[in-house]
Amino acid sequence: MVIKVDDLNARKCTAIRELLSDCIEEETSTWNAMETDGERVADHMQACMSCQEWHRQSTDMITMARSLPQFDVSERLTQNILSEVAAIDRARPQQLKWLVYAVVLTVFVATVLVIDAAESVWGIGSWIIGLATMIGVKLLIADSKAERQTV
Amino acid sequence: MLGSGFMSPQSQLTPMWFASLVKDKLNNAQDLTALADAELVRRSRAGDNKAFELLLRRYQKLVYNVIYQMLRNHDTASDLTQDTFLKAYKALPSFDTQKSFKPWLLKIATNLSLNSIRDNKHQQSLDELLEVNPQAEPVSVDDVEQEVEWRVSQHMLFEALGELPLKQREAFVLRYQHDLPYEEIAEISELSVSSVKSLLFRARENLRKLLTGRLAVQASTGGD
Repeated sequence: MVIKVDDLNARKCTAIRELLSDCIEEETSTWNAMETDGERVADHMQACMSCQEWHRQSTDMITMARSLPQFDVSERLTQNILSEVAAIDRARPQQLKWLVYAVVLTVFVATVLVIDAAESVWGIGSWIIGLATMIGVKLLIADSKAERQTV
Repeated sequence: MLGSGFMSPQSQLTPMWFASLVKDKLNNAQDLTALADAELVRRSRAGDNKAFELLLRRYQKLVYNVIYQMLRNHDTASDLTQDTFLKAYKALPSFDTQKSFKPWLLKIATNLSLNSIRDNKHQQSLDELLEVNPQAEPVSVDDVEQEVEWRVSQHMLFEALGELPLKQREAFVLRYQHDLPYEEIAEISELSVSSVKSLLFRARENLRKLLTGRLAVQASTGGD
C-alpha cells in the first residue's frame, strides 16, 4: 500500500489538532512540551502553516463566541414566573385537602365493607342510609341558614 | 409617666430609626444575594419564595440564552424559560443538594428544548439534528484549508452556530458562550467528559468549515 506524503502530513495534523483540542483555550506554553508519534507539538506547530492557521482560527472563534451578545430577560417574564410559583403554592393546600378527603373516604369504605359486610349486606345498606340522612340534614340546615340570611 | 427604657411610638419614628430599618433591610437583601445556590434551594424548599426569586434572577438570563441558541425563537425561549423554572420549582423537593443546582437547571432547560423541537417536527430527523452518531464525522483537514481571509463577524458566527447539529451547538454554547466546565456540560448532556471534549472538537471544526465556506462565498461575490 502506498501512502502519499500529503496523506501522512494530513494525518499528523489531525492527530496534533485532536491532541490540542483539550487545551485549545489555554496558553501555548501549556502544550508546547506535548508529543504525538514521537513529534513534539511545538516543532510541528512551528513548521506547519496549516496548523498555525487552524490554531489561530480556532482561538479567534472561541474569543468571538465569548463576546457574543446575550439577551436580557424582561421583567414581565420574571413576574409571570413568580406569579405562577405563587399559584403552585396556593394549590398545594388544596391538594392536601383532597388527600385528606381521599384517606377518610378510603377508611370509611374499608370499615363498611370489611366490618359490616362480613355480617350482612344490610349492614352496608344501613351505613349508606345513615350517611344519606346525615347529608340530607346538613343540606337542610344549610338551606335554612341561607334563607334566614336573605330575609 | 414613661420610664427611661420605654420608647413612645412617636420617638421610634425618628429619621435615625428609619435609616437603621432601611439599612437592616438592605443588609438582609445583600445577605440573601450572597447566599450559595444550595442554601437558596434549602430555603426555597422550606417555603421561602424570596430565596426562589433570587435563584430565578440569578439564572434566568443563562437559561433563556441557552434555550434561545437551541430554538432561535424569542417567544418559544420565553415560554420554555418559564416552564423550566416552574418544573424546577415543583421538582425542588427531590433535588439532591449535594449536587450543583446550575447543571440540574440547565438539564431541565435543554430537555424541554429538545422535546419542543421533537413536538414541532422539523424537516430533519431528530437524530440528524442531535447528531447522535459520533462516528459519522471525522473532519477532513484539507477541505477547510481554503485561501480566504479569516475575518469573521459576530453575526456570521451566530448564523453559522445555528447550522450546527443541536448537541454540538449546545456543547459549544455552554462551553464558550457561558464558560461552563466540561464536567457540568457532561452532566447536562448526560455524556462522559471525554465525549464532551470530542463533541466540542467536532463543533469547532464544523463551525470553522461553515465559516470558511461563507467567507469564500463572500470573497467570490465581492463582499456583498
